[in-house]
Amino acid sequence: MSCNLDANATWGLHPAVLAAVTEFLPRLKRELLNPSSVHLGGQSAKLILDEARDAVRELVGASSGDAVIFTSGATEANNQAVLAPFISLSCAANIDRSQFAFLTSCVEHESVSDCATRIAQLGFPVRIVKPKALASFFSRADFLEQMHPSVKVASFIHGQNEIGTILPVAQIALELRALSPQVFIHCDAVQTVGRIAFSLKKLNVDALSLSGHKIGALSGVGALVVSGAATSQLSSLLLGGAQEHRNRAGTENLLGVFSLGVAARLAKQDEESGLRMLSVRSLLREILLEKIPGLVIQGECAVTGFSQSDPEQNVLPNTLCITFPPNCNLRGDDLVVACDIAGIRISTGSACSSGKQEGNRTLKALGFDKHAVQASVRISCTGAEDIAELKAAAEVISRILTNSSLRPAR
Amino acid sequence: MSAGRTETSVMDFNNSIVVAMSGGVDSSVAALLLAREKAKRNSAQSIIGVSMQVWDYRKSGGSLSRATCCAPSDFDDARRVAGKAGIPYYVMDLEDRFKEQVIEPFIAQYRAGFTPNPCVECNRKVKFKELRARSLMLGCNTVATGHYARIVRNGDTFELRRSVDRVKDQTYFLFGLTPADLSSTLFPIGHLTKPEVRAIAAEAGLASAEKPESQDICFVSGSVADFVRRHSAQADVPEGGKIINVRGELLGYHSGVHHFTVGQRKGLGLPGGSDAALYVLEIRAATAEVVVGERAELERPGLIVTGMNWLVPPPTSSTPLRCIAQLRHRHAGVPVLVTQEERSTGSDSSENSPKTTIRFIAGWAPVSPGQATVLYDIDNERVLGGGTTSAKELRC
Repeated sequence: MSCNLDANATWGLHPAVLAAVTEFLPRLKRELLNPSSVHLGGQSAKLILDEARDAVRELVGASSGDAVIFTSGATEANNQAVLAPFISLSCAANIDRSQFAFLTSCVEHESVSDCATRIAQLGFPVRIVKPKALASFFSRADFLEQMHPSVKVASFIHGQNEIGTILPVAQIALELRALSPQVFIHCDAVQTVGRIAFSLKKLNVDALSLSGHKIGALSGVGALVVSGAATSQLSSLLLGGAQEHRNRAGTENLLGVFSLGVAARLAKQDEESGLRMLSVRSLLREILLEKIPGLVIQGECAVTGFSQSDPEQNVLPNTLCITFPPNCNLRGDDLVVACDIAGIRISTGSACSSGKQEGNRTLKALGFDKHAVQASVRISCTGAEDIAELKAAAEVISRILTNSSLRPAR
Repeated sequence: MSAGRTETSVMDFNNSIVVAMSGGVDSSVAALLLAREKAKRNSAQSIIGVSMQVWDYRKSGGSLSRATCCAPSDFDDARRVAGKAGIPYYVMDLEDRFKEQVIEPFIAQYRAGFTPNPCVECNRKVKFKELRARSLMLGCNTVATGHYARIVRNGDTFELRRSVDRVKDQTYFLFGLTPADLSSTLFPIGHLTKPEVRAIAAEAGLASAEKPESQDICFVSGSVADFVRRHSAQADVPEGGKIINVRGELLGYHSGVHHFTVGQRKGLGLPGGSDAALYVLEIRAATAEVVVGERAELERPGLIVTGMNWLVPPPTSSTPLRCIAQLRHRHAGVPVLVTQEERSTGSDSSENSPKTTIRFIAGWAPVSPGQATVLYDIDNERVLGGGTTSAKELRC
């Protein structure tokens, strides 16, 4: 069998994107498509970029005055939004670094949390929101505790990539702005773009990051969307050219950007994708809960204390993070390997490039015990899965887990 | 090879196999040979390449400059080889088990004045136990490694034998495998010499063909003493003490017993080069004394071994076993007579396995407590068993 249930790692190229890209490719030979060129080729290229920009704007509910900066992916977009301002500040003389704090949460993707480490190394205060009680999720109080007038840049993940929880970014932003009016708020929206309905304005943030290959475009392209009012606060990360309105040097990845534009348009048009994902998630959830007594579903908890505008929207519709009971003598990373051999692609969560699986680092950051960290896997779907295949995959996963519980403990 | 015996290097595999891959040339060729055999037989069984992540250099603060195991580049090499061989490849995190079963005892033993052998413990408790257990969960009953050793099937018995390449032979580190282990283990390169292995790798265009030999202990970059110091709490680092001779006369000072091994000759650091012909005779961790003397003073009538793992029926006090004992890696072996108590005396709670007594019968070798003592048949070919060299001296 072959069943891909690791959409949060990469969506897979959308068939319509593949068709559009295939049709587009010969143009790269025929025309000299460098958007910075003066000749007609340059003009055509610029048009391609702008069409893609519009498509991305539409997808995230941004207006024509908002900037879309194409990057090599969401990691670069996150680095630009979060780290670049502090690099610029480091060059300024006579500033009191203690008055330029960075605020973020303990469940961010490494492309933000590693920036936080670097920001601290540069001598700026870093405030990290952690839940007060171990093995729980945040409350409003946890956020308020870390908010401070000195916070000038903040970044929050929208849909948590490993456990699927959706953070009430809009409400968090509202509280933060009341305390620190000049703050630049960034949102890592990689896992929510194209999966749940929201807009830049409704999120109440200044910028958001998205990634091409998480919505069916090519990998190697992403974007930082910045509200018009906040563009003056931007710093560039890459220097050496006037591309992207001086916000991102380097010749644009035209093919990638083109694919992102196509994928964004498709995602915008497909209003039922969230529902399809949710039905796949529910089906898997139901079968696994029934077959594996003691199974725990992670991430379905709301951040308490905020008036959640949509109480149904606590978790990504496509992400199911499960922790198997202690009587299963199997680690999450072994289940991933066993599933792979059976043709089912899932993951424990993050994986480093060497292939080592470190367990679920989000659960670890939230203070869950070693068992939960090691015995969890993430199943994430696109909504396009075949129902028969899905059922078979859920059966295989249940069987592997049940068999493991029959083996003596090591 | 006599009739009825079958070498189980690559033949005889009916089960799915996990092949342990370090990224080095030996395990790379082992994986390649298994994959070729599978293709030749058009077999449906799975062969899965696995690298064991046992030690994280980023966390340990160790040097990355030296080529050791578990570096990301090793895993990249292993993955490339697996790709070439057409087998799936995964990295398994075994750090916790390795720390608990190999690293921590290693440090404790050094602090206590012993010279432990971590490769033996890694094979016994990690590779052929934890990795095997986790392989079973993947439906793989057999574990294959790139060790230079052979397993020969003789009727219902699986014999562990030295590799064809006697210089590279690694059976000294493998005596801890149980008879059950041997029946579900493959050493695909045991019948090859190192140059043959390198030639296969080069011919197949494997990235690891020209890789340098891994040296010494995989997780130690730099000196062992430095490693022990870095991984011990301040209070636990052995303090310096006296270097004395057998008569108790003071010859000099040392900076901790973890710097020494019984039988060691170089690096005593005695004033005026007076250590030129002196050997470490004994390490007394309790009093931090290192006793040195002439080579002749190292001579013992034999030794006591604890924790024996027998691959043949053990001898008794009335039916002694004549065989060859190897006391260190690369030691050629020395003829001995072995007897074993029928059961534990129970007098010594720390060593509750039956004591095995080994007497030298022609020649002798330095006895280093903590090292492995491995017994081979009189042809010095087949492993009969092995255990840990005790600090307890054998009296005449």
